[in-house]
Amino acid sequence: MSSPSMSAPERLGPPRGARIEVSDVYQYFASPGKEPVLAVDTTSLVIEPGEFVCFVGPSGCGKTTVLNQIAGLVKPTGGTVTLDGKTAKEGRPDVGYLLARDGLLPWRTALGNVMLPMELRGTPRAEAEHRAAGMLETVGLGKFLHSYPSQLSHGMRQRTALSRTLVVEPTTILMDEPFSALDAETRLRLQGVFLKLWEHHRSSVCFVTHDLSEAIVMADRILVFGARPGKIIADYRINLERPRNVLELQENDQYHHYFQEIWSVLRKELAAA
Amino acid sequence: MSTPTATPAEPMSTPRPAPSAPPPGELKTKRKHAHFRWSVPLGWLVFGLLLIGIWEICATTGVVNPVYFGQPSLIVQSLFQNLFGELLYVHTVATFTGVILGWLLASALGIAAALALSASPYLLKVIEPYFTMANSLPRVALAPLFLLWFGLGVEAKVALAFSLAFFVVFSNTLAGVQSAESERRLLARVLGASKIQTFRKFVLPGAVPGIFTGLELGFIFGMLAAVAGEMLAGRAGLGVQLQFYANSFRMNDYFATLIILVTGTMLFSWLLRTIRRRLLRWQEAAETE
Repeated sequence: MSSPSMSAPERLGPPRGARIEVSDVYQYFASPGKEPVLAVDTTSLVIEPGEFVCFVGPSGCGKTTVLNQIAGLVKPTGGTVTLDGKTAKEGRPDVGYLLARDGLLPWRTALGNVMLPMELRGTPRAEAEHRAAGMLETVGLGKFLHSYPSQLSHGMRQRTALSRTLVVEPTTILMDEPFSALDAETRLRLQGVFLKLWEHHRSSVCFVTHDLSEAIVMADRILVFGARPGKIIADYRINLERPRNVLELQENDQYHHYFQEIWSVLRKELAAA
Repeated sequence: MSTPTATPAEPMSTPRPAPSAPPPGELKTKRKHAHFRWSVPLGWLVFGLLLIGIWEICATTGVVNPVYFGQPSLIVQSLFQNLFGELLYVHTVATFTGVILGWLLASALGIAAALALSASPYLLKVIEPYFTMANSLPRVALAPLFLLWFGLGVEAKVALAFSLAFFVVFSNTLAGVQSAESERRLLARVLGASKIQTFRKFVLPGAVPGIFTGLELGFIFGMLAAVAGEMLAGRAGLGVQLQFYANSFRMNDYFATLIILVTGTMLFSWLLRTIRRRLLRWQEAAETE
Protein backbone atom coordinates (compact mmCIF):
# COMPACT_ATOMS: atom_id res chain seq x y z
CA MET A 1 0.00 0.00 0.00
CA SER A 2 1.44 3.29 -1.08
CA SER A 3 -0.71 5.72 0.89
CA PRO A 4 0.94 7.68 3.65
CA SER A 5 -0.12 6.70 7.11
CA MET A 6 -2.08 9.36 8.92
CA SER A 7 -1.85 9.83 12.64
CA ALA A 8 -4.91 8.76 14.58
CA PRO A 9 -6.96 11.71 15.77
CA GLU A 10 -7.32 12.43 19.46
CA ARG A 11 -11.02 11.65 19.57
CA LEU A 12 -10.56 7.93 19.12
CA GLY A 13 -11.08 5.91 22.27
CA PRO A 14 -8.41 3.44 23.40
CA PRO A 15 -8.72 0.01 21.79
CA ARG A 16 -10.35 -2.51 24.12
CA GLY A 17 -11.20 -5.36 21.83
CA ALA A 18 -10.15 -8.97 21.96
CA ARG A 19 -7.26 -10.36 19.92
CA ILE A 20 -8.77 -12.80 17.47
CA GLU A 21 -6.51 -15.46 16.11
CA VAL A 22 -7.56 -17.87 13.37
CA SER A 23 -4.85 -20.45 12.71
CA ASP A 24 -4.81 -22.89 9.83
CA VAL A 25 -8.54 -23.49 9.81
CA TYR A 26 -10.26 -25.39 7.08
CA GLN A 27 -13.87 -26.36 6.84
CA TYR A 28 -15.62 -29.21 5.12
CA PHE A 29 -19.39 -29.27 4.93
CA ALA A 30 -20.89 -32.72 4.59
CA SER A 31 -24.22 -33.17 2.88
CA PRO A 32 -25.92 -36.58 2.81
CA GLY A 33 -25.22 -38.59 -0.33
CA LYS A 34 -22.64 -36.13 -1.64
CA GLU A 35 -18.93 -35.57 -1.43
CA PRO A 36 -17.99 -33.23 1.43
CA VAL A 37 -17.46 -29.70 0.12
CA LEU A 38 -14.36 -27.75 1.08
CA ALA A 39 -15.86 -24.39 2.05
CA VAL A 40 -12.73 -22.84 3.51
CA ASP A 41 -9.21 -23.86 2.60
CA THR A 42 -6.41 -23.55 5.14
CA THR A 43 -6.71 -19.96 6.32
CA SER A 44 -4.99 -17.95 9.02
CA LEU A 45 -5.59 -14.41 10.17
CA VAL A 46 -5.11 -12.22 13.19
CA ILE A 47 -7.35 -9.36 14.20
CA GLU A 48 -5.57 -7.09 16.66
CA PRO A 49 -7.44 -5.61 19.63
CA GLY A 50 -9.59 -2.75 18.47
CA GLU A 51 -9.06 -3.44 14.79
CA PHE A 52 -11.93 -3.08 12.33
CA VAL A 53 -11.59 -5.77 9.67
CA CYS A 54 -13.88 -6.29 6.70
CA PHE A 55 -14.20 -9.53 4.75
CA VAL A 56 -15.14 -9.01 1.12
CA GLY A 57 -15.49 -11.50 -1.69
CA PRO A 58 -17.98 -13.24 -3.95
CA SER A 59 -20.84 -15.30 -2.50
CA GLY A 60 -19.79 -18.75 -1.43
CA CYS A 61 -16.20 -17.71 -0.70
CA GLY A 62 -16.38 -18.83 2.92
CA LYS A 63 -16.30 -15.37 4.50
CA THR A 64 -19.45 -16.04 6.49
CA THR A 65 -18.09 -19.46 7.48
CA VAL A 66 -14.97 -17.90 8.97
CA LEU A 67 -17.15 -15.36 10.78
CA ASN A 68 -19.26 -18.16 12.20
CA GLN A 69 -16.15 -20.02 13.29
CA ILE A 70 -15.08 -16.96 15.24
CA ALA A 71 -18.61 -16.76 16.68
CA GLY A 72 -18.28 -20.39 17.72
CA LEU A 73 -21.40 -21.31 15.76
CA VAL A 74 -19.42 -23.50 13.37
CA LYS A 75 -16.69 -25.78 14.64
CA PRO A 76 -13.80 -25.82 12.15
CA THR A 77 -12.97 -29.21 10.69
CA GLY A 78 -9.34 -28.42 11.36
CA GLY A 79 -7.33 -25.61 12.93
CA THR A 80 -8.05 -23.36 15.89
CA VAL A 81 -9.88 -20.11 16.54
CA THR A 82 -9.13 -18.20 19.72
CA LEU A 83 -10.33 -14.93 21.22
CA ASP A 84 -7.77 -13.55 23.67
CA GLY A 85 -6.29 -17.03 23.79
CA LYS A 86 -9.56 -18.80 24.60
CA THR A 87 -11.14 -21.18 22.10
CA ALA A 88 -14.14 -19.62 20.34
CA LYS A 89 -17.51 -20.80 21.58
CA GLU A 90 -21.06 -19.65 20.97
CA GLY A 91 -22.93 -17.46 23.40
CA ARG A 92 -19.90 -15.69 24.88
CA PRO A 93 -21.08 -12.58 26.72
CA ASP A 94 -18.23 -10.47 25.31
CA VAL A 95 -19.07 -11.27 21.68
CA GLY A 96 -21.79 -9.39 19.80
CA TYR A 97 -23.29 -10.78 16.60
CA LEU A 98 -25.48 -9.06 14.05
CA LEU A 99 -27.06 -10.35 10.85
CA ALA A 100 -28.74 -8.73 7.87
CA ARG A 101 -32.11 -9.74 9.25
CA ASP A 102 -32.84 -8.05 12.52
CA GLY A 103 -34.18 -11.13 14.36
CA LEU A 104 -36.22 -8.94 16.68
CA LEU A 105 -38.81 -10.70 18.79
CA PRO A 106 -42.15 -9.35 17.54
CA TRP A 107 -43.83 -9.61 20.95
CA ARG A 108 -41.29 -7.32 22.56
CA THR A 109 -41.11 -3.56 22.18
CA ALA A 110 -37.89 -1.96 20.91
CA LEU A 111 -36.91 -1.45 24.54
CA GLY A 112 -37.75 -5.05 25.45
CA ASN A 113 -35.69 -6.35 22.56
CA VAL A 114 -32.65 -4.33 23.57
CA MET A 115 -33.07 -5.44 27.18
CA LEU A 116 -33.09 -9.09 26.13
CA PRO A 117 -29.33 -9.86 26.26
CA MET A 118 -29.08 -8.24 29.69
CA GLU A 119 -32.15 -10.11 30.88
CA LEU A 120 -30.55 -13.40 29.88
CA ARG A 121 -27.52 -12.49 31.96
CA GLY A 122 -29.50 -11.56 35.03
CA THR A 123 -28.82 -7.81 34.94
CA PRO A 124 -31.22 -6.09 37.37
CA ARG A 125 -34.30 -4.93 35.50
CA ALA A 126 -34.01 -1.25 36.33
CA GLU A 127 -30.41 -1.12 35.17
CA ALA A 128 -31.17 -3.08 31.99
CA GLU A 129 -34.02 -0.73 31.18
CA HIS A 130 -31.88 2.32 31.80
CA ARG A 131 -29.05 1.08 29.60
CA ALA A 132 -31.37 -0.11 26.83
CA ALA A 133 -33.18 3.22 26.75
CA GLY A 134 -29.85 5.07 26.66
CA MET A 135 -28.62 2.90 23.81
CA LEU A 136 -31.79 3.43 21.77
CA GLU A 137 -31.52 7.14 22.43
CA THR A 138 -27.98 7.06 21.01
CA VAL A 139 -29.09 5.48 17.75
CA GLY A 140 -31.92 8.00 17.43
CA LEU A 141 -34.85 5.86 18.54
CA GLY A 142 -35.56 7.65 21.80
CA LYS A 143 -39.15 8.27 20.72
CA PHE A 144 -39.82 4.65 19.79
CA LEU A 145 -38.91 2.79 22.98
CA HIS A 146 -42.38 1.32 23.32
CA SER A 147 -43.06 0.56 19.67
CA TYR A 148 -43.35 -3.03 18.51
CA PRO A 149 -41.09 -4.14 15.63
CA SER A 150 -44.11 -4.31 13.33
CA GLN A 151 -44.60 -0.58 13.87
CA LEU A 152 -41.03 0.31 12.95
CA SER A 153 -39.46 0.86 9.54
CA HIS A 154 -36.75 -1.41 8.20
CA GLY A 155 -33.97 0.95 9.16
CA MET A 156 -35.40 1.50 12.64
CA ARG A 157 -35.62 -2.24 13.20
CA GLN A 158 -31.99 -2.70 12.22
CA ARG A 159 -31.04 0.16 14.54
CA THR A 160 -32.83 -1.68 17.32
CA ALA A 161 -30.94 -4.87 16.46
CA LEU A 162 -27.70 -2.87 16.44
CA SER A 163 -28.58 -1.52 19.87
CA ARG A 164 -29.27 -5.04 21.11
CA THR A 165 -25.82 -6.08 19.93
CA LEU A 166 -23.95 -3.09 21.34
CA VAL A 167 -25.79 -2.53 24.61
CA VAL A 168 -23.72 -5.13 26.46
CA GLU A 169 -20.50 -3.47 25.17
CA PRO A 170 -19.00 -6.55 23.55
CA THR A 171 -15.23 -6.52 23.05
CA THR A 172 -15.68 -8.44 19.81
CA ILE A 173 -18.37 -7.57 17.28
CA LEU A 174 -19.15 -9.97 14.45
CA MET A 175 -21.39 -8.68 11.69
CA ASP A 176 -22.67 -10.52 8.66
CA GLU A 177 -23.83 -8.02 6.03
CA PRO A 178 -25.67 -6.07 8.73
CA PHE A 179 -26.78 -3.24 6.45
CA SER A 180 -27.26 -5.08 3.17
CA ALA A 181 -31.04 -5.30 3.42
CA LEU A 182 -31.43 -1.53 3.76
CA ASP A 183 -31.97 1.11 1.10
CA ALA A 184 -28.92 3.18 0.14
CA GLU A 185 -29.76 6.23 2.21
CA THR A 186 -30.60 4.29 5.36
CA ARG A 187 -27.46 2.22 4.89
CA LEU A 188 -25.23 5.30 4.80
CA ARG A 189 -26.94 6.65 7.87
CA LEU A 190 -26.49 3.43 9.82
CA GLN A 191 -22.88 3.06 8.73
CA GLY A 192 -22.33 6.50 10.21
CA VAL A 193 -24.15 5.63 13.43
CA PHE A 194 -22.16 2.45 13.86
CA LEU A 195 -18.80 4.03 13.00
CA LYS A 196 -19.32 6.74 15.56
CA LEU A 197 -20.17 4.24 18.27
CA TRP A 198 -17.25 2.04 17.31
CA GLU A 199 -14.77 4.91 17.26
CA HIS A 200 -15.76 5.52 20.85
CA HIS A 201 -15.69 1.89 22.04
CA ARG A 202 -12.93 0.52 19.78
CA SER A 203 -13.87 -3.15 20.03
CA SER A 204 -12.45 -5.65 17.57
CA VAL A 205 -14.80 -5.89 14.60
CA CYS A 206 -15.14 -8.53 11.97
CA PHE A 207 -17.53 -7.30 9.31
CA VAL A 208 -18.64 -9.36 6.31
CA THR A 209 -19.92 -7.41 3.31
CA HIS A 210 -20.53 -7.63 -0.40
CA ASP A 211 -20.12 -3.94 -0.75
CA LEU A 212 -16.55 -2.77 -1.32
CA SER A 213 -17.34 0.92 -0.77
CA GLU A 214 -18.87 0.04 2.59
CA ALA A 215 -15.75 -1.94 3.50
CA ILE A 216 -13.40 0.96 2.63
CA VAL A 217 -15.47 3.48 4.53
CA MET A 218 -15.59 1.37 7.68
CA ALA A 219 -12.47 -0.77 7.91
CA ASP A 220 -8.89 -0.54 9.08
CA ARG A 221 -8.16 -3.62 7.04
CA ILE A 222 -9.86 -5.41 4.20
CA LEU A 223 -9.38 -9.10 3.58
CA VAL A 224 -10.38 -10.20 0.09
CA PHE A 225 -11.63 -13.77 -0.15
CA GLY A 226 -11.39 -15.87 -3.28
CA ALA A 227 -13.95 -18.51 -4.06
CA ARG A 228 -13.99 -22.33 -4.31
CA PRO A 229 -12.44 -23.22 -2.04
CA GLY A 230 -12.62 -20.08 0.08
CA LYS A 231 -9.28 -18.52 0.88
CA ILE A 232 -7.87 -15.09 1.70
CA ILE A 233 -6.13 -13.78 -1.41
CA ALA A 234 -5.34 -10.20 -0.46
CA ASP A 235 -4.94 -8.09 2.67
CA TYR A 236 -5.23 -4.29 2.43
CA ARG A 237 -4.71 -1.70 5.12
CA ILE A 238 -6.99 1.32 4.82
CA ASN A 239 -5.23 4.35 6.20
CA LEU A 240 -8.06 6.82 5.95
CA GLU A 241 -8.15 9.33 8.76
CA ARG A 242 -10.42 8.66 11.72
CA PRO A 243 -12.90 9.65 12.91
CA ARG A 244 -14.38 9.22 9.47
CA ASN A 245 -17.38 10.85 7.93
CA VAL A 246 -19.24 8.41 5.73
CA LEU A 247 -20.70 11.10 3.49
CA GLU A 248 -17.52 13.14 3.03
CA LEU A 249 -15.45 10.08 2.20
CA GLN A 250 -17.42 9.67 -1.02
CA GLU A 251 -15.49 12.62 -2.45
CA ASN A 252 -12.11 11.67 -0.98
CA ASP A 253 -9.44 10.90 -3.61
CA GLN A 254 -7.72 8.35 -1.45
CA TYR A 255 -10.99 6.51 -1.02
CA HIS A 256 -11.29 6.21 -4.80
CA HIS A 257 -7.71 5.13 -5.04
CA TYR A 258 -8.37 2.27 -2.60
CA PHE A 259 -11.52 1.39 -4.37
CA GLN A 260 -9.81 1.00 -7.75
CA GLU A 261 -6.93 -0.95 -6.35
CA ILE A 262 -9.02 -3.46 -4.42
CA TRP A 263 -11.71 -3.63 -7.06
CA SER A 264 -9.19 -4.77 -9.66
CA VAL A 265 -8.51 -7.85 -7.48
CA LEU A 266 -12.09 -8.41 -6.45
CA ARG A 267 -13.42 -8.13 -9.97
CA LYS A 268 -11.41 -11.13 -11.11
CA GLU A 269 -12.84 -13.20 -8.25
CA LEU A 270 -16.37 -12.11 -9.01
CA ALA A 271 -15.88 -13.04 -12.63
CA ALA A 272 -14.48 -16.43 -11.65
CA ALA A 273 -17.21 -17.26 -9.14
CA MET B 1 -16.24 1.05 -12.17
CA SER B 2 -17.88 4.28 -11.25
CA THR B 3 -18.34 5.81 -7.87
CA PRO B 4 -20.25 9.05 -8.11
CA THR B 5 -18.43 11.89 -6.40
CA ALA B 6 -21.16 13.37 -4.32
CA THR B 7 -20.77 17.12 -4.60
CA PRO B 8 -23.82 18.87 -3.24
CA ALA B 9 -25.75 20.01 -6.28
CA GLU B 10 -26.28 23.74 -6.56
CA PRO B 11 -29.82 24.67 -7.49
CA MET B 12 -29.89 25.98 -11.06
CA SER B 13 -32.28 28.78 -10.22
CA THR B 14 -34.04 29.88 -7.12
CA PRO B 15 -37.25 27.90 -7.04
CA ARG B 16 -40.51 29.75 -6.65
CA PRO B 17 -42.00 29.35 -3.20
CA ALA B 18 -44.23 26.32 -3.38
CA PRO B 19 -47.89 26.89 -2.56
CA SER B 20 -48.52 25.72 0.97
CA ALA B 21 -50.69 22.69 1.50
CA PRO B 22 -54.34 23.30 2.33
CA PRO B 23 -55.37 22.79 5.96
CA PRO B 24 -56.17 19.17 6.77
CA GLY B 25 -59.84 19.88 7.25
CA GLU B 26 -60.78 17.91 4.17
CA LEU B 27 -59.03 14.67 5.16
CA LYS B 28 -61.35 11.78 4.48
CA THR B 29 -59.38 8.76 5.70
CA LYS B 30 -60.33 8.96 9.39
CA ARG B 31 -63.94 9.74 8.63
CA LYS B 32 -64.34 6.71 6.43
CA HIS B 33 -63.65 4.43 9.39
CA ALA B 34 -65.92 6.37 11.71
CA HIS B 35 -68.61 6.01 9.09
CA PHE B 36 -68.09 2.23 9.00
CA ARG B 37 -68.51 1.99 12.73
CA TRP B 38 -72.16 2.85 12.44
CA SER B 39 -73.08 1.56 9.03
CA VAL B 40 -71.89 -2.00 9.55
CA PRO B 41 -73.96 -2.81 12.68
CA LEU B 42 -76.87 -1.05 11.05
CA GLY B 43 -76.44 -3.32 8.03
CA TRP B 44 -76.41 -6.36 10.30
CA LEU B 45 -79.67 -5.27 11.90
CA VAL B 46 -81.40 -4.56 8.59
CA PHE B 47 -80.23 -7.83 7.06
CA GLY B 48 -81.31 -9.85 10.10
CA LEU B 49 -84.70 -8.20 10.34
CA LEU B 50 -85.22 -8.75 6.62
CA LEU B 51 -84.53 -12.49 6.90
CA ILE B 52 -86.73 -12.86 9.96
CA GLY B 53 -89.45 -10.82 8.33
CA ILE B 54 -89.49 -13.01 5.21
CA TRP B 55 -89.59 -16.11 7.40
CA GLU B 56 -92.47 -14.71 9.45
CA ILE B 57 -94.48 -13.80 6.36
CA CYS B 58 -93.84 -17.18 4.74
CA ALA B 59 -94.98 -18.94 7.91
CA THR B 60 -98.15 -16.88 8.41
CA THR B 61 -99.18 -17.06 4.76
CA GLY B 62 -98.50 -20.78 4.64
CA VAL B 63 -95.74 -20.66 2.03
CA VAL B 64 -93.76 -22.82 4.46
CA ASN B 65 -95.38 -25.09 6.99
CA PRO B 66 -94.75 -23.72 10.50
CA VAL B 67 -95.10 -27.24 11.91
CA TYR B 68 -91.77 -28.02 10.27
CA PHE B 69 -90.15 -24.60 10.07
CA GLY B 70 -91.43 -22.72 13.10
CA GLN B 71 -92.39 -19.08 13.16
CA PRO B 72 -90.11 -16.28 14.41
CA SER B 73 -92.68 -14.54 16.60
CA LEU B 74 -93.57 -17.80 18.31
CA ILE B 75 -89.88 -18.70 18.65
CA VAL B 76 -89.28 -15.45 20.52
CA GLN B 77 -92.29 -16.22 22.68
CA SER B 78 -90.99 -19.71 23.41
CA LEU B 79 -87.57 -18.29 24.20
CA PHE B 80 -88.99 -15.96 26.84
CA GLN B 81 -91.22 -18.66 28.28
CA ASN B 82 -88.34 -21.11 28.58
CA LEU B 83 -85.50 -18.77 29.26
CA PHE B 84 -85.84 -18.76 33.00
CA GLY B 85 -87.06 -22.31 33.32
CA GLU B 86 -85.63 -25.76 32.97
CA LEU B 87 -84.11 -25.12 29.57
CA LEU B 88 -81.66 -22.60 31.01
CA TYR B 89 -81.13 -23.85 34.56
CA VAL B 90 -80.98 -27.54 33.82
CA HIS B 91 -80.17 -28.23 30.20
CA THR B 92 -77.98 -25.26 29.31
CA VAL B 93 -76.06 -25.68 32.55
CA ALA B 94 -75.63 -29.40 31.88
CA THR B 95 -74.30 -28.93 28.35
CA PHE B 96 -71.99 -26.04 29.13
CA THR B 97 -70.65 -27.67 32.29
CA GLY B 98 -69.74 -30.77 30.32
CA VAL B 99 -68.20 -28.87 27.42
CA ILE B 100 -66.25 -26.42 29.56
CA LEU B 101 -64.87 -29.19 31.78
CA GLY B 102 -63.89 -31.29 28.78
CA TRP B 103 -62.40 -28.27 27.06
CA LEU B 104 -60.40 -27.23 30.13
CA LEU B 105 -59.02 -30.72 30.48
CA ALA B 106 -58.26 -30.91 26.75
CA SER B 107 -56.57 -27.51 26.81
CA ALA B 108 -54.36 -28.28 29.79
CA LEU B 109 -53.33 -31.70 28.49
CA GLY B 110 -53.17 -30.64 24.84
CA ILE B 111 -50.84 -27.71 25.54
CA ALA B 112 -48.74 -29.77 27.95
CA ALA B 113 -48.43 -32.69 25.52
CA ALA B 114 -47.51 -30.43 22.60
CA LEU B 115 -44.87 -28.57 24.60
CA ALA B 116 -43.41 -31.77 25.98
CA LEU B 117 -43.31 -33.54 22.63
CA SER B 118 -41.84 -30.53 20.83
CA ALA B 119 -38.78 -30.98 23.03
CA SER B 120 -38.26 -34.53 21.75
CA PRO B 121 -38.37 -34.94 17.97
CA TYR B 122 -37.92 -38.69 18.41
CA LEU B 123 -40.97 -39.21 20.65
CA LEU B 124 -42.97 -36.93 18.39
CA LYS B 125 -42.15 -39.09 15.38
CA VAL B 126 -43.12 -42.24 17.29
CA ILE B 127 -46.43 -40.88 18.47
CA GLU B 128 -47.38 -38.96 15.33
CA PRO B 129 -49.04 -41.82 13.36
CA TYR B 130 -51.18 -42.75 16.36
CA PHE B 131 -52.26 -39.16 16.76
CA THR B 132 -53.10 -38.90 13.09
CA MET B 133 -55.13 -42.08 13.33
CA ALA B 134 -57.02 -40.96 16.42
CA ASN B 135 -57.62 -37.57 14.87
CA SER B 136 -59.03 -38.95 11.62
CA LEU B 137 -61.60 -40.96 13.52
CA PRO B 138 -65.00 -39.21 13.42
CA ARG B 139 -65.25 -38.62 17.15
CA VAL B 140 -69.03 -38.75 17.17
CA ALA B 141 -68.62 -42.44 16.36
CA LEU B 142 -67.25 -42.82 19.87
CA ALA B 143 -70.42 -41.41 21.43
CA PRO B 144 -72.15 -44.78 21.97
CA LEU B 145 -68.98 -46.15 23.54
CA PHE B 146 -68.53 -43.18 25.86
CA LEU B 147 -72.20 -43.34 26.86
CA LEU B 148 -71.71 -46.99 27.73
CA TRP B 149 -68.57 -46.29 29.72
CA PHE B 150 -69.53 -43.06 31.44
CA GLY B 151 -73.32 -43.23 31.62
CA LEU B 152 -75.92 -40.61 30.83
CA GLY B 153 -74.52 -37.89 33.12
CA VAL B 154 -71.98 -35.15 32.65
CA GLU B 155 -69.01 -37.53 32.33
CA ALA B 156 -69.87 -38.64 28.79
CA LYS B 157 -70.16 -35.00 27.67
CA VAL B 158 -66.76 -34.24 29.18
CA ALA B 159 -65.23 -37.25 27.44
CA LEU B 160 -66.70 -36.36 24.06
CA ALA B 161 -65.76 -32.69 24.25
CA PHE B 162 -62.30 -33.70 25.37
CA SER B 163 -61.81 -36.23 22.58
CA LEU B 164 -62.25 -33.59 19.92
CA ALA B 165 -60.86 -30.49 21.63
CA PHE B 166 -57.66 -32.20 22.73
CA PHE B 167 -56.35 -32.76 19.21
CA VAL B 168 -57.31 -29.31 18.04
CA VAL B 169 -55.44 -27.69 20.93
CA PHE B 170 -52.53 -30.09 20.59
CA SER B 171 -51.93 -29.59 16.88
CA ASN B 172 -52.31 -25.81 17.00
CA THR B 173 -49.92 -25.54 19.94
CA LEU B 174 -47.40 -27.77 18.23
CA ALA B 175 -47.61 -25.72 15.04
CA GLY B 176 -47.08 -22.57 17.10
CA VAL B 177 -44.00 -23.94 18.85
CA GLN B 178 -42.52 -25.21 15.60
CA SER B 179 -43.16 -21.90 13.88
CA ALA B 180 -40.22 -20.37 15.79
CA GLU B 181 -37.93 -19.42 12.94
CA SER B 182 -34.47 -20.93 12.88
CA GLU B 183 -33.18 -17.36 12.95
CA ARG B 184 -34.79 -16.90 16.35
CA ARG B 185 -33.10 -20.01 17.68
CA LEU B 186 -29.80 -18.80 16.24
CA LEU B 187 -30.23 -15.53 18.11
CA ALA B 188 -30.84 -17.47 21.32
CA ARG B 189 -27.60 -19.40 20.75
CA VAL B 190 -25.60 -16.30 19.96
CA LEU B 191 -26.91 -14.52 23.04
CA GLY B 192 -25.95 -17.53 25.14
CA ALA B 193 -29.49 -18.33 26.30
CA SER B 194 -29.90 -21.52 28.33
CA LYS B 195 -32.32 -24.21 27.17
CA ILE B 196 -34.99 -23.01 29.55
CA GLN B 197 -34.44 -19.38 28.56
CA THR B 198 -34.61 -20.29 24.88
CA PHE B 199 -37.94 -21.95 25.46
CA ARG B 200 -39.42 -19.30 27.73
CA LYS B 201 -38.23 -16.18 25.95
CA PHE B 202 -37.79 -17.17 22.30
CA VAL B 203 -40.14 -20.09 21.55
CA LEU B 204 -43.15 -19.98 23.89
CA PRO B 205 -44.27 -16.37 23.31
CA GLY B 206 -44.29 -17.08 19.58
CA ALA B 207 -46.54 -20.07 20.15
CA VAL B 208 -49.20 -18.11 22.05
CA PRO B 209 -51.19 -17.07 18.94
CA GLY B 210 -51.32 -20.73 17.83
CA ILE B 211 -52.36 -21.82 21.31
CA PHE B 212 -55.22 -19.33 21.31
CA THR B 213 -56.41 -20.45 17.91
CA GLY B 214 -56.41 -23.98 19.31
CA LEU B 215 -58.37 -22.93 22.39
CA GLU B 216 -61.03 -21.11 20.38
CA LEU B 217 -61.47 -23.87 17.82
CA GLY B 218 -61.26 -26.51 20.55
CA PHE B 219 -64.22 -25.03 22.33
CA ILE B 220 -66.37 -25.01 19.21
CA PHE B 221 -65.43 -28.57 18.34
CA GLY B 222 -65.95 -29.68 21.94
CA MET B 223 -69.44 -28.22 21.82
CA LEU B 224 -70.13 -30.07 18.58
CA ALA B 225 -69.09 -33.43 20.02
CA ALA B 226 -70.96 -32.97 23.29
CA VAL B 227 -74.24 -31.91 21.67
CA ALA B 228 -74.04 -34.76 19.18
CA GLY B 229 -73.59 -37.18 22.11
CA GLU B 230 -76.54 -35.68 23.93
CA MET B 231 -78.74 -36.13 20.92
CA LEU B 232 -77.98 -39.83 21.07
CA ALA B 233 -78.75 -40.20 24.75
CA GLY B 234 -78.45 -38.27 27.99
CA ARG B 235 -80.29 -37.32 31.13
CA ALA B 236 -80.08 -33.58 30.50
CA GLY B 237 -78.59 -31.19 27.98
CA LEU B 238 -79.50 -28.96 25.06
CA GLY B 239 -78.88 -31.82 22.62
CA VAL B 240 -81.33 -33.98 24.55
CA GLN B 241 -83.92 -31.21 24.30
CA LEU B 242 -83.29 -30.69 20.59
CA GLN B 243 -83.95 -34.35 19.91
CA PHE B 244 -87.06 -34.28 22.06
CA TYR B 245 -88.49 -31.13 20.43
CA ALA B 246 -87.83 -32.37 16.91
CA ASN B 247 -89.53 -35.69 17.64
CA SER B 248 -92.60 -33.94 19.02
CA PHE B 249 -92.76 -31.29 16.25
CA ARG B 250 -92.17 -28.44 18.68
CA MET B 251 -90.20 -26.38 16.15
CA ASN B 252 -90.51 -23.08 17.99
CA ASP B 253 -89.00 -24.64 21.11
CA TYR B 254 -86.40 -26.29 18.91
CA PHE B 255 -85.27 -22.98 17.45
CA ALA B 256 -85.37 -21.30 20.86
CA THR B 257 -82.97 -23.99 22.09
CA LEU B 258 -80.71 -23.39 19.11
CA ILE B 259 -80.64 -19.68 19.91
CA ILE B 260 -79.54 -20.40 23.47
CA LEU B 261 -76.86 -22.78 22.17
CA VAL B 262 -75.49 -20.28 19.67
CA THR B 263 -75.61 -17.36 22.11
CA GLY B 264 -73.78 -19.30 24.80
CA THR B 265 -71.06 -20.48 22.43
CA MET B 266 -70.60 -17.02 20.95
CA LEU B 267 -70.34 -15.46 24.40
CA PHE B 268 -67.62 -17.91 25.35
CA SER B 269 -65.72 -17.35 22.11
CA TRP B 270 -65.98 -13.61 22.62
CA LEU B 271 -64.52 -14.00 26.11
CA LEU B 272 -61.57 -15.95 24.69
CA ARG B 273 -60.99 -13.40 21.95
CA THR B 274 -61.00 -10.60 24.49
CA ILE B 275 -58.35 -12.37 26.55
CA ARG B 276 -56.37 -12.98 23.38
CA ARG B 277 -56.45 -9.32 22.42
CA ARG B 278 -55.21 -8.37 25.87
CA LEU B 279 -52.36 -10.86 25.73
CA LEU B 280 -51.33 -10.32 22.14
CA ARG B 281 -51.15 -6.56 21.82
CA TRP B 282 -48.06 -6.92 19.64
CA GLN B 283 -50.07 -8.78 17.02
CA GLU B 284 -52.76 -6.16 17.05
CA ALA B 285 -50.05 -3.58 16.38
CA ALA B 286 -49.07 -5.48 13.26
CA GLU B 287 -52.63 -5.74 12.00
CA THR B 288 -53.41 -2.05 12.24
CA GLU B 289 -50.37 -1.14 10.14
